Amino acid sequence: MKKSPSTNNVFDNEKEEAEVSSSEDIDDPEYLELCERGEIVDKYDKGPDSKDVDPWENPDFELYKVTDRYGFIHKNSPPTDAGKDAKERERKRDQKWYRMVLEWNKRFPVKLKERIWKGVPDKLRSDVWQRLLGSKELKLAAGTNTYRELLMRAKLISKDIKQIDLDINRTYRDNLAFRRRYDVKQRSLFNVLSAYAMYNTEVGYCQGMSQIAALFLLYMDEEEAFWCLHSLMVEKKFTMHGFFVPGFPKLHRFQDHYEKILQKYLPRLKKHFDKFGIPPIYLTKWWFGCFLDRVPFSLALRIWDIFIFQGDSILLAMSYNIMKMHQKTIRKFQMENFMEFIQNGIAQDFGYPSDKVMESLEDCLRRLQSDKMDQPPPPPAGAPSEVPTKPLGPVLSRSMINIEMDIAEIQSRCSRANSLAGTPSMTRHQHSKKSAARTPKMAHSLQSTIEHRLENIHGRNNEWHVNSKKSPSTELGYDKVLPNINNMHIVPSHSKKPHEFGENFNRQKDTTITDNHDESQAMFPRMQRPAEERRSNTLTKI
Amino acid sequence: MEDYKYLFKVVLVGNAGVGKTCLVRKFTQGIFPPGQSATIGVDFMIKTVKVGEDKIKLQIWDTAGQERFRSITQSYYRSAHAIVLVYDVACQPSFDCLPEWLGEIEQYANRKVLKILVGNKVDKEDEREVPERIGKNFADANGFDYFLETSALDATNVDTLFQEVATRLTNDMKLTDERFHNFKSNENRDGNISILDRVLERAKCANCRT
Repeated sequence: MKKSPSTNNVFDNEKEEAEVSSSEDIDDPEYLELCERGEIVDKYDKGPDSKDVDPWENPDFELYKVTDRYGFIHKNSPPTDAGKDAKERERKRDQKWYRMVLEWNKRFPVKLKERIWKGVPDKLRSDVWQRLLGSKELKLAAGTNTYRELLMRAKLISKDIKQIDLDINRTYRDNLAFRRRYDVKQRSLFNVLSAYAMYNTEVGYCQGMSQIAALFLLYMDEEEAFWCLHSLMVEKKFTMHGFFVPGFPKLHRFQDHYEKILQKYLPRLKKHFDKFGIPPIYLTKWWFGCFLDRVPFSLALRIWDIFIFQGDSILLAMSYNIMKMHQKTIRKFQMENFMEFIQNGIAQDFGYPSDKVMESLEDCLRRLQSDKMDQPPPPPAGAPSEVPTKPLGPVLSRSMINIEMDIAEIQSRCSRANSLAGTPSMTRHQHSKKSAARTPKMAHSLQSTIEHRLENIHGRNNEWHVNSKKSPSTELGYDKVLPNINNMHIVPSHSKKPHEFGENFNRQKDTTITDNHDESQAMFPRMQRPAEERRSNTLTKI
Repeated sequence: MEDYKYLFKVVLVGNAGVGKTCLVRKFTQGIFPPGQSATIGVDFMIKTVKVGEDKIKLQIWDTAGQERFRSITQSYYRSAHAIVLVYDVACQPSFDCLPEWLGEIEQYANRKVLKILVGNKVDKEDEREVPERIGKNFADANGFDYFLETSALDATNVDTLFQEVATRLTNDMKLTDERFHNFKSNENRDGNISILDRVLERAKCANCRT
């Protein structure tokens, strides 16, 4: 991914800005990325009590009183298609399913397909989905430590963490499980997605995946969700990989086929779309999340039940089904009413009870199957691959020590730049607001990055933190490249919010810096003292 | 049929998470939904505004910000009357990506498209990383027709933004209409309309080439 923090051409007219970036050498992209990553990882590790949560990040749901059985919060009672006897029926169904699942260990249940069309009981979704996806087998085949190992590396070097963090902040925030910023399920979601981006590097992280992972996390723990996600990506009957991989080859192939289905089975509707120039832009959202968010959640679950059993032909069949069931309404619509209907209308209220929708879906699928239209033609020779072509989890072949050394190298590069910048002339430099805002964040995150490295990777206690001579870095023989890391450790962990450091930092500009020995100094030692002096000074504080 | 004088297509682009969907939601529905899920592909929304006495319909195409979705969103540039490029004033990298987005616009959009630069999230004044004048300078230096800072959270300039888009496009369109009518009446006197078509066609091609 191409990302250039502060391109100088942007600041062509801004002499002052350009001067700051070049003279401080603070715009080392790898270093900035390292800091940014550390900062984000740190927030998830600290959890919901983190002081870094913006007020708007924890939406106020006081107005929203009703919680449905899946944990979604509504203003009014959510639409439900449960009748009078629904509870009793559900109880009987649960019992049948329990018996069937027990049988499953011996042989594949004959009645499974028929029953899945009627919906998997919510209590059994976790178990049934994992069985159908074969996620446990995938985990065993890959080695039981794979997830943990991936996750450790992801937290240190993943390039996708920023995008993942952005999207977690807007994934199912109306569900109790994901409502509180940095709370348990948000942390799991963060872990699953960061680890997966390191595993399947061709897909990495693509928007839309967070919804799927979050759905799994409503029913299972993070490692189980990880392997379910992987199954969806690579198992032949799903190959969601082809949807999410850059270029979206499968999306285009399926879209072409969808147009053929419309032409064959709903020609009047197709004509209507052509006449009003209505493009099938809704398909991306439909298929990337298998109708999540675009139909009511309870119906989406029913579609997911059969999707996981049947595979990707459900995507085509359900798209056809929506158009078929609503064709009369849709034919009255022009572009704008149509899009409103597709984006919001049927998401609020599908207009038919779920059972009815599923019956109709079964009909649609049967029809497509009998005409051999349930699958598009395979990708033509030479087309971009829809399955992984590179080995999975290449990062696993890199040892943690190796990764640490790389990080240390980046940090030392920056510390060199810092000591260069620590000349008196530099301290008097009038910093722009931009660099003032950034620097404290970086110091803060650098510190936390290093802490992770120690706590998570070495699994040791903190005793060596105050004793630079016994640091693991010394033992590992690369103490030379870590001169200021020990120094950074000594800074009190999370005593201040980044913006508070910013204030200190700004104040600092106006004082005689060399005489200032307060805590903010420890965060910005580079401003005035050479490295050695810095260390002794901060050590005496402990 | 619905009564509106003009219909304009407005495409919103910019990095992921800068608040494109929230801007559109605030404008079309008056709500700021926190935790609005990421846009996958392209979403579509509509709103009618008034310019003078005229009803103007804005078709707003809200695109996904993640880089890999550009291959999908590119196809919506060509028919756009206006492109609103959004960055987050509290996120320097979203500003640093502007040259890339400009490249996309130059490559795929109509040359005469109305280009608007928007710095969103000005409610986060404490975390601001891109000063207003830097945004303004960038807009001036890169041929944007209009620059504005907005906040979808507290509604700052949201209506102004889309009202301005509608007004500018309407004025442009009226000017074109006038020219067209003048031209047409001249042509009619000569009793030869096909020449008009040919001239217009040629003018279009010239635009494409330059």
